[in-house]
Amino acid sequence: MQPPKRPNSDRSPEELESRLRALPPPPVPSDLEARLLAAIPPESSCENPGWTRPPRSRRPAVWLRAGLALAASCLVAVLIWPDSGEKITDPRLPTSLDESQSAHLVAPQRLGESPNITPWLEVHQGLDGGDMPSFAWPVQGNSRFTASISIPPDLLD
Amino acid sequence: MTKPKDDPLLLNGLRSGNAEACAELIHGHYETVYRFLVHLTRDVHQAEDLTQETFAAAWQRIATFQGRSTLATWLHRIAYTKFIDGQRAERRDTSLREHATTSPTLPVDPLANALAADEARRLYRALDELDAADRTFVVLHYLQGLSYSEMALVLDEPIGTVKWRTREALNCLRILLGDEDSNHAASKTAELGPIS
Repeated sequence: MQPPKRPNSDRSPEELESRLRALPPPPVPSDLEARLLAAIPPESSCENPGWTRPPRSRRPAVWLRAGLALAASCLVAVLIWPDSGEKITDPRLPTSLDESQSAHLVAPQRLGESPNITPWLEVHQGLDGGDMPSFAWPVQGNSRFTASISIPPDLLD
Repeated sequence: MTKPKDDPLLLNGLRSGNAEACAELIHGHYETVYRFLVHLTRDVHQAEDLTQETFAAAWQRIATFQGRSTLATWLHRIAYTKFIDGQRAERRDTSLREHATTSPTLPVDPLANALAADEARRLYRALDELDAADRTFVVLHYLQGLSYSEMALVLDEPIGTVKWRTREALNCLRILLGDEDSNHAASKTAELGPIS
């Protein structure tokens, strides 16, 4: 069984670091720069475009700004909206009709004109008490119903 | 290590697509990008292709460059992404070690040249034996000279992780070099033969 390998004690990390830093760099092909220069795109095609997608790290900031702009525009719209107490015209109504037509369209029906509502109105008028007879106690009633036939006098004691 | 800030005029020129600014960027950074990719791929042809792809991608993205890192770090980031993408592609088999021995940047003195070439060859061999992730940390920090914070931007890792992984990679390299040294000593002894 082989013992676990340990770093060479003769070489300190500092020495190895200095050896690495002094390592001769690999040669660079002489024509590489010329090839790279030839591959530079023409100025018109590598100019900064009008809009570029923001980098991923800035996208939250862009969304935040868009949200704030939307909220501000909503607030401005609410502030400059016409006062609700003013007359609001219904855009669905025609505007070029003559007076009689428009009056016919917008005027409410008079009470009692509708055949469906007449019986209900009669009942309602009766309940309002306009024609109700005066009330007096004891009631001079001739009710068909009686609570009892007769009460014996001994029970009244 | 502190690096000079990028020239604002150069940045403006790049963002507006100025050809001279693009040429200046290439002139200042293409060697660094190429060497980084050579160390990562260990394939000079693939490194050339990826260098061209890196700059092509840079022209496409330059309008969105925020300037939060240096141009060098930004180019390293693009190059690293290209390398990761290129790992799926078929690799051609060209060894970096052969190029290291014939490097024109080696010293002129024949003895020093031989020693340096031998040392470089052993270091490159040990680097090649590191796994790709460890090699990336060592190359970025010690060979490309990036700071830990710049490496964190390139690799998209926390700075603490970058420091720890770099130390671990260096330890792995020391182990590999220890094996190299013992093998090297054994071969030298065998070459000399028995003492009579």
